[in-house]
Formats: sequence, C-alpha cells, structure tokens
Amino acid sequence: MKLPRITLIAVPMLLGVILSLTYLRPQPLEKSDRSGSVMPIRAPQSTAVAWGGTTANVDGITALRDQVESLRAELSSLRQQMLRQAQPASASSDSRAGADVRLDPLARAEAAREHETHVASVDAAFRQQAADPTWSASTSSAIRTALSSEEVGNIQADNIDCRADSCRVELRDDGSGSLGKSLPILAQQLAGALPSITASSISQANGDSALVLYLSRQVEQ
Amino acid sequence: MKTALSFGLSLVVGTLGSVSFSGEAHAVNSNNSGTACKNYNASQVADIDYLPSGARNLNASSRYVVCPVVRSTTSASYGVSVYVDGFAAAGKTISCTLYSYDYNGTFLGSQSFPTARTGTFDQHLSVAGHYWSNASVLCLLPGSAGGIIYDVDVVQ
Repeated sequence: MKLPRITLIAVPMLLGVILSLTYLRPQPLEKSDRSGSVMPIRAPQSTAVAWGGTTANVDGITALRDQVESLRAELSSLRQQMLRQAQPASASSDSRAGADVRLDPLARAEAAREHETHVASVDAAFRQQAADPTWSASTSSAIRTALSSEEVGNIQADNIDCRADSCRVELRDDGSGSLGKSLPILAQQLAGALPSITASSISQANGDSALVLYLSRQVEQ
Repeated sequence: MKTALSFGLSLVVGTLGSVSFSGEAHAVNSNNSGTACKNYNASQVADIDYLPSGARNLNASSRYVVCPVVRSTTSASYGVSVYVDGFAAAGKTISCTLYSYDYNGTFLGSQSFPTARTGTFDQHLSVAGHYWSNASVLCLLPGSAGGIIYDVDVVQ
C-alpha cells in the first residue's frame, strides 16, 4: 500500500521528536562529518538544566529546536557542496563558487573540444577503411543525386570520398542558412544507405567556412 | 540514551534531508508530444493537422514536420538519445531524422531511421550533442492523414 508522502515525512519527524523528548539527557551531542570523524556541535546551554519538570521540558524542546536549526545549517552547507559537485567536470576550472556553467567560456570550450575529439575518432576510423570500389561508386553517386535534388537545394560538394563503410563529404557554407535548412532533408534522403552523420565545421584558406560530413552506414548507439 | 538521541536526530536529519533535496534538478527523461511538431516548410502550414495524440498531414503529398526535442541538460553527458513513436497506415511509411545543432548554429550530426516504418513504431535514435546543443526531429509524414507522430521521448 502506498502511504501519502506527508505521512512518510511527518511520522518519522514526530517519532524522532517523541523519542528524543523521552530519552534526552544533558549529554554532549556528537555528529559525524563527511570524512567520518566525530565533530562536536553546539550544545545549547539549556541542556545543562536537569531533566524533569515543566521548565526542563520547555528547555528540552528549545534545545531540540536549536539542534534542528544547527542541522539545517549543516544540510544547507552540504547541499551547496553537492550542487557544486553536480556541475560538469569542465566547470571545475572556474573557481567562483556557484558560477553559472552556462556562462563559463572554459566549459563551452571543453564541450567544443569534446565534439572535436568525437569527430577526430570518426575521421580516424574513416581513414583506416580500405576502399570498396563497388560500394564507393554507388554511394558517391547516390550522394551526388541527393545533393543536386530540388528538395535539398542543388548543393555543390567540394569533395566526396567514399570508402567501405562511410563517406567524407565537404560542403561549402555561404552562411545564408540554406545549407542548414537542407541538411536534415539530405539526411532523410540518404537514410537508407547512410543513416548516421557526424559533422564538423572547418575554416578554409580563403576565410570561407566549410562543413565536413562523415556519413556512415553503421548506426551509432 | 545516546543511541536513542542519535536515532531521534537521525530521523529528523532524514526528514530535513528529504525535504531539502527533493527540489534538486536532475537530468530526467522528457516526453514531448507530437502536437508540438510543426510544418518544416512555411508554405505547408495549412497541411498539418493536430489530434489530441499527435500531428498528421492532410495534404495528398507527403510533408515534413519538425518536432522539438526538449531536454534538461544538467549533466555533462555527451549525446542526445530519443525514441520516436508514431503510426503509419498500411502501404504508407514514416521516416524521421534526429539532428543536433550547437548553440552557435553549427550542425553537429544526425541519425535517421535505417528504414522507413509502417504500422505502430517506437524507433530509437541518437546523435552527437552536449550541454549547450539543441536537437530536433524531422519526419516525413505520408499524405492524406496516412500517418501520425505521437511523441518524441528523450532518454537521459
């Protein structure tokens, strides 16, 4: 049977308070830090009062309240530490506590490097392939046909190089956005033969930008 | 006595902890309804029809729709992984491509259905992507309401 969430929260809390009130004695309090060592925490002065009677009960509750406040502060501190640890590893270079990783140029550069590493591995795998003349010829032809279709927008490729499992295609990007609009449609048209594409943008000697596509018949998982 | 006190405090700590951390953001799965899909080409806006469960194409010819992939990028994981759910009537097919772009408009890559799907399908796709990248799914819907995209479910 599923208990309501409020029950799951309220019952242990109430139980904790009742048990503490029943068994509490004026003893120094201890708790463990993250490293496992025992650290004393602030013991409220009121706990020095002998237990018993109404005044002592009130003092005991006050002591518990103080302890809860102290624990709240500890939890808040731990929460901040967890938030910092949850940031991407690349963001650790930023020493500013609580810095927004979205605004961190180092983290962005790290993400770009990660993609470049991925592209480099795809490029290395492509260059290690021996040529399969039959597949290479038919696939190159299919790519040219797709690029020159009206739907894709009659894109001219600077270079098409197909090996055994994948092709490397260089496309010039004039920056008008027409290439970007066409790319998903090109991917659709080639899906039967080459379902996976990895892309990288490169700068050419004349300052123009070119897009390098690695089209593979292997589906990456 | 000390044990009892510790137990009581532990309960309080556990309670406070559960309350304090319940609001934390995590990378979570996200189910995006097909009703968020739109016409890819401006002139075809009137061809796309919406059902409570998704989007379809009313034109006699096939039409592209583009569906957003809404992600919660709180982790440093590389890549975008989705399942595309839909249905194509007998004799009709649907093919989709998941693609991603960097925050600066750079195309990162794509993955398409290896074969166009007929009937009810739940097709997995994955593509390059990172913290700042965005992804979408482009689907070619058959004409005459012959197919529907139900949703794009992001797995994180």
